[in-house]
Amino acid sequence: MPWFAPARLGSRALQLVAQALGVVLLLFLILESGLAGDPAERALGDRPSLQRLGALRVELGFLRSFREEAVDLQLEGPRARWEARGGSGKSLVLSDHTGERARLALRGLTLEAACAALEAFRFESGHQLQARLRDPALAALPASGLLDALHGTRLALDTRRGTAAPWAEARPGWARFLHQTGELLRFDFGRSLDGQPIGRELSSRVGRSLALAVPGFVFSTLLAVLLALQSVRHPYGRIARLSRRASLLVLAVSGVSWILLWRGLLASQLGWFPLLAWDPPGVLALLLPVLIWVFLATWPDFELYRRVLEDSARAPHVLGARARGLPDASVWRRHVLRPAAGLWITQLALALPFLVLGSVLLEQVFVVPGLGDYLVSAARNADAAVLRATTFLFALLYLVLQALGDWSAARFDPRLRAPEDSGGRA
Amino acid sequence: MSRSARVARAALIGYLVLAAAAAVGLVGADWRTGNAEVEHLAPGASAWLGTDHLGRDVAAMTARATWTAVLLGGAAAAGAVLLGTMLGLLAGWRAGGWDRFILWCSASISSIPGILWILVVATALGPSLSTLIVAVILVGWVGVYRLVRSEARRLRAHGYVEASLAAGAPTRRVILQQLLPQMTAIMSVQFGLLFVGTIQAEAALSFLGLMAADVPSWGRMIAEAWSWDDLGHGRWWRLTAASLALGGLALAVLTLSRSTGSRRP
Repeated sequence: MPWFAPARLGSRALQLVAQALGVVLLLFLILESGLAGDPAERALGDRPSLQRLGALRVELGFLRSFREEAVDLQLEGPRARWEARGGSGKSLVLSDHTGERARLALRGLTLEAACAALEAFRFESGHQLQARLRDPALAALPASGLLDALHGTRLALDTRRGTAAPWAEARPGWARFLHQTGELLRFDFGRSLDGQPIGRELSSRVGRSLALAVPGFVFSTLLAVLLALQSVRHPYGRIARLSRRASLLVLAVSGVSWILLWRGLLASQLGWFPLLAWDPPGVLALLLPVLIWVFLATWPDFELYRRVLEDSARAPHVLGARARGLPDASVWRRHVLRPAAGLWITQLALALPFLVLGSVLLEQVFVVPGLGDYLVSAARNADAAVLRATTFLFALLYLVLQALGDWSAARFDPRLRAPEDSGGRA
Repeated sequence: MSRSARVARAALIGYLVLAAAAAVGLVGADWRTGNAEVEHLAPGASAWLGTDHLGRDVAAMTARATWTAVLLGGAAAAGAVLLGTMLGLLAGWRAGGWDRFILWCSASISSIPGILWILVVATALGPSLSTLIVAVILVGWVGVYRLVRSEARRLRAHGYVEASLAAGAPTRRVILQQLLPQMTAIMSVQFGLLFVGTIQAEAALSFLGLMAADVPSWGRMIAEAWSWDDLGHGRWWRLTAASLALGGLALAVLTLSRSTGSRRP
C-alpha cells in the first residue's frame, strides 16, 4: 500500500488528532481545571480585590458573568481582622488583634439581611460597621459567599452547585474545556494578562529566537555528525577518545554554568565579544551565543549519531557486504550511511520544535527578546494563556514533524516500512 | 567493574555521606549565617571556598546544597522510575484498552518539550522543590514506561514465563519474581539519567527565578553568582564551587549508570 493511500493517511491523521486532543486535555487539567489551585488567584498574587478576581475569572472563562456592583459592600469599621470559621457562608467571626470578639451567623440569611446585621453589629469598644448593598435586585440572594466578599480573596470554584457565588454564574468545567479546545484548534490564542494578542507576540518573537537558534543548530549538527563518523570509523583513535570524554564532561556540568563561564571569560574578562546580543542586534553580537549553543548542543547529538552509526555498522547485512568483498567506501555509503540517514532525518525533524525553545537560557543571559524570554516572563507572571498557546503550538508542530519524519525515514530505510508497504520489494 | 566505575562509586558514596551529614546538621548547618565584614572573601584559611555577597560561607552552602540535590534528584527519579515501571509492566503484560490508553497518554506527554512541561507545572503549582519533583515525575515516567513495556512484551513470550503460568503460578508472582528482576538494568540507567536531568533542571529553574528562594541549592548559588556578576568582578569561587559540585555528582551518577547498562545480559 503506498504511503499516500487514503486509509493510511486517514489513520495517521486520526492518531495526530487524538494526540493533539490529549495535549489540550493535559494542559487544561494542569493549568485551568482548578486541580492545581485557582488560576485567577495565582495570576493576581496575594489578596487581590474581589472585583479584580471576578473580572479575571470572567476573562479566563471560569465565570459566565460577574456582577461587580453586587459585591461592592462598603465596609467601615475598626482595624479588625476578618476571619472565616465553620465553612464558607455559615458564619462570620469578627476579631481584632486581641482575639475573637463576636460571631455573626449567616446561615439562612439573605444578602440584604446579612448587610443589615453587619451594620447593626457593634463591638464592645463601640466601633460600628457599615455595609451597604448597592444592587437591590440581589437583596433576596442567600448570604453564602459574603465571607468571600469581605475577604476579597476567595470565590469558590464549586461548579457542582451551578453557581460559584450568588453574584457570579460559573461555567462548568466541560464547557470551559470545549470552549478552549475550539479556540486552540482555530489558532485563536486570545490575549496575555497584559492585554497583548498572544498570536501577534509569538510571531514577532519567533524570528529573534531563530536568528540565534538556526546557525547554532546547523553548525552543531554538522560538527556532531563529523565527530560521530570519525569516532565510529576509528573507535580507538584520538578524536574518538577525546570526543567521548568531552561529551561526558559537557553533559555532566549544568548548561547554565557553561553559559556563564564562557560569557564571563570571553565577554566580561577578555572583552572579545559584546555582553548583550540584541542591543543592537548584529552578527558579532550573536556570535558568542551561537558559539556557546554549538558547544552545548554538539555533544548530545554526537552521542545519538554515534549510537545510530555504531548500530548500522554492526548490522548483519553490513558484515555480509564486507565478507563479500565490497569496497569499504561503498559499504559505508550504501549500507551504513543510507539507513542511518533515515533515523537522522527523524531526529532532525523532531529537534526543530525544540530548537526555538532551546535558547531559553541563552536568551536570558544575552537579553534577546525572543520566545524563550516570553515564556519565562509568562511563567513568572503565572500567565496560563501564553503557556497554553505556546505549548499547544509546539506540540502540534512536533506531532506533524514526527509523522513527516517517520515517512521520510522509511524512504531511506526499507526496514522501517510497514510490512504491507515493503511487500514485494524487499 | 571498570576503573572509572569504581572511582564513580567512591565519589557517589562521598556525596551521599556529605548529604547525610548535612541533613542531620553536622556540616553546613550555618549556611544562613552571614557576616557583612567578610563579604566576597576569596578562598583562604578562614573560608576555604570563600564567602558570598552576604558574607556566608560558600563551603557550608555547597555542603548543605548536596542534601537538597540528593533529596530532589532521588525523589523525582525514584518516583518517575516506579511509575514508569508499574505502568510498563501493566501495559506489557495486558495488551488491550489499558495499553492503548497509557500509550495515548505517553504520546501526548512526550510531544510537549520538557522545558515547557516544567514551566507549565511551575506556573500551576508555584515555585518550590516539590513542583520540580512533580514535573519530573509527570514527564520522566514516559521513557521508563516505553522501555519496560517492550521488555515485558519480549520476556512474556519466553518459555520460562509460559512454563510458570502453565504450572499455575499466580500472575502477580510471575511479574514480581520473574519479570521485575529483569528490569533492574533499565531501571538503574533511567534512574541515573533522570537524577542528573533533575538536578540540572533545578539549576536552570533557579537561574530563571522559578524556584523557591529559601532553599539552599547549587542552582541558587549559580543564580546568585549571576545576579551579583561574580565573574565580571573576578569572583570565580561561588560559581565554580556550585558548578563543580553539581558536575561531579552528575558525572558519578552517569558513569555508574552507563556501567550498569553495559553489564546488562
